Amino acid sequence: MDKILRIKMSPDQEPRTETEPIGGYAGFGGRGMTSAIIAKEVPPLCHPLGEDNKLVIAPGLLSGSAAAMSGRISVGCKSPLTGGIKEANSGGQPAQVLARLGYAAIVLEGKPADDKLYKIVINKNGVEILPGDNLKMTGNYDTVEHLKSEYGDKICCISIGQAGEMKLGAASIAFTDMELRPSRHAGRGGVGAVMGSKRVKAIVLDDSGMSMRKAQDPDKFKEANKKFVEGLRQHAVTGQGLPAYGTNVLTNVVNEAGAYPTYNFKTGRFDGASAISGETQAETETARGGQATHGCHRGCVIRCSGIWVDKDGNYVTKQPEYETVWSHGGNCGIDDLDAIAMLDRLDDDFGLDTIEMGATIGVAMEAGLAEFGDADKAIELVKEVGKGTPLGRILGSGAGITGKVFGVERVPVVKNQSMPAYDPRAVQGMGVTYATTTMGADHTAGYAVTANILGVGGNVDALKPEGQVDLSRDLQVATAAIDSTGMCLFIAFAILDQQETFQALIDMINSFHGLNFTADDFSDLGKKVLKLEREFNEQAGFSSKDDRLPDYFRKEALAPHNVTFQVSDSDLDTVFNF
Amino acid sequence: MPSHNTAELKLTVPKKMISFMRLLISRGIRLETRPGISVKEFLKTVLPADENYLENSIQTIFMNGHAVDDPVQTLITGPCTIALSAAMPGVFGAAFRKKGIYSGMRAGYLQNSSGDENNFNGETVPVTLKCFNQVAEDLGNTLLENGVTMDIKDFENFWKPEKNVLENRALRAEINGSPADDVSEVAGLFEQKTTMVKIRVVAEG
Ligand code: SF4
Repeated sequence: MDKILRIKMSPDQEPRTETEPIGGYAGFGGRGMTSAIIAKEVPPLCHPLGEDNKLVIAPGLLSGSAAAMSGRISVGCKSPLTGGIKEANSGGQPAQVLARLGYAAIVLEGKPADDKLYKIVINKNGVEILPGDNLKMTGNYDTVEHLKSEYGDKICCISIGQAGEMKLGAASIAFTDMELRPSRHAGRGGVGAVMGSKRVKAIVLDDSGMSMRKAQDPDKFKEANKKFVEGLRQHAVTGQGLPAYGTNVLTNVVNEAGAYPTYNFKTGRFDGASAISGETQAETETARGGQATHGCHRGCVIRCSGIWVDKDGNYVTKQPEYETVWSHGGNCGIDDLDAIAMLDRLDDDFGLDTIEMGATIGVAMEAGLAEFGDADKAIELVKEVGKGTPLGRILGSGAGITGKVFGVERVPVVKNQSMPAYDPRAVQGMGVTYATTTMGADHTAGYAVTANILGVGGNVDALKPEGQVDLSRDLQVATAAIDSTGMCLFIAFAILDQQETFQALIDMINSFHGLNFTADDFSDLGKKVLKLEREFNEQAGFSSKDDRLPDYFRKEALAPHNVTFQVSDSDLDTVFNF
Repeated sequence: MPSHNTAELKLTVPKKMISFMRLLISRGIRLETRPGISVKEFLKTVLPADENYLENSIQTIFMNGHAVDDPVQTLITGPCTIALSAAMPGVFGAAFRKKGIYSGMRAGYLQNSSGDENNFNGETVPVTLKCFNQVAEDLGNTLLENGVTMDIKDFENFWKPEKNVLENRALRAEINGSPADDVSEVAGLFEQKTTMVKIRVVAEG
């Protein structure tokens, strides 16, 4: 994994490829790699859909090896949704395969003059850029079927659906899973629109003939990997809760806490929560012959995902995760898991971010385009996006644009990106992260929970606003560090509680790459990545005024606890004081 | 004999369906206790679980939607809802965990609240208990075998959407002590004036 592949689209010549040594980007993986390339090579003031923007796809530091949980992949660019730097990450098979093919990153650059579509095929023999017009305005599922019939079932694919081709702000990039279905997505920030602007419909990867990446110290690596897996298996979250119920285990509990944004963030409790909870979801999947425990890529030992089938046992989609069940469910007043699964399937097929689309439908419902709770109408609205009707294009541009077009005040976005499934009035520390992250409202920006082990954090007063700011800062740093290894963020729970599991992770990286990383180096890596991202955003025109929640979170009290967001602006402005 | 506003229902279900019936526990079962009892003491009395389970497996406790950090110090002084969860993922899981280092991520509202009505004067306090996720899985079978009482509306909300599935699954029902000819008769309970239902679930096969 010592080279970078550049795909150069150009207005005056045929697309071409260049492979170069990793050079100054050595030591970076995942989000570290994507943000380093974007910060160095993309002019912050460029148009996100223009020739100067770049789309970077990077596996993690341990992808392609025997390391457990190492198959996440990062996608970076200047975001057409937020206008700032973006990293969106995904599961699926491509991280492992890309790494085995030897690439630390693929960079799509430039822009062709015409509207022709291309597909890129990468295998042990090299890289080919081929015409892809036959796939025009084809959904991800059909696209992958087509590619499978052409290249066989040993491939994996990275593709965009209709939304990406239309360059919509909610467009995602799909990554195929172990069953060669395009069910895993780099969802956030409109990364699919940037791939669409480069006119690349799909990237086909085939690692036949390539072998697994080998560690520099194989014995030490093997031992560390074993300890790491043991740690994940013995922890209650990674060994029990996530495998059994997936992330949707949170629905009942967040709802009980009064933090479940319902009816477009009007209230913190949803009466129908129990019907769409992880417990109900897992039970229904098992009863129908689906699967309640499944990995999004080979090598995942937590397996927080699953397979949702209809009443007759036919595959519909992967198990919709908590954020999706919330966005299309409670947020829109919908308590029907089959309808939510259908919305998830449509999003995946058209190539749309499920969080952005659910939030957008919530705003559309508030605007009167549908009644809250009307699942059929919600499905119709998402289908509008796939068809590319004028209404569909508005909705596919995200909640911010939809709110503007329909004159809605309650639009839950920061930096024009929709908030995820925790009301910031009830989980105020999460509100600090939504407001200040470089990514636009994003829960995963402060998702990792590693501060005590990483040596950041320390003693904070839990009930003071400054405490919330400190916690959010620490979490953002820790998350950036884990994202930069390319490991699944869910490992964070086990390494929070188990020092030996964290040590095993460090030992894995060190023995694989022949390094001497320490916990402090990890923390420094997170800070470095955040600083790069922050500087990019500043040069793109962002300032403290963009690090704010919409006004109504301070004014409208959230039931049942009747709380407003209370962290002051001046406290928010101290998050990046490090 | 059932009281006039509590119906009694005994369901005999195939063993593999017991996990489905456990979903009832997450909707809330009705219990009573004496006012002034601590949350910890209450849980010790009503749950089929030992000290170690209460301490380590139940990671998050809510009382009326507020996270409880100290179940020994938090008293039940008025009608309330208590919800129990095993370890949960994410910042949320960490923030709402008992005495977790991320409890500062929660809202600034008062925690360890001791129920809605501090001046409650009754001899017993009604408590709605919800068990979520792994807690329901671990304790639900015993609770259901012993019988749980719940609001008939909550039971209706559980039963109706799954009516077809439930009625096709070789279930047998006894309603107020009399065997029902068909399990579909359970729905008749929703038309009556009873407000509560006591449900016993027996697994067979
Ligand atoms: S834990 Fe879940 S998200 Fe993470 S790698 Fe496994 S299946 Fe994918």
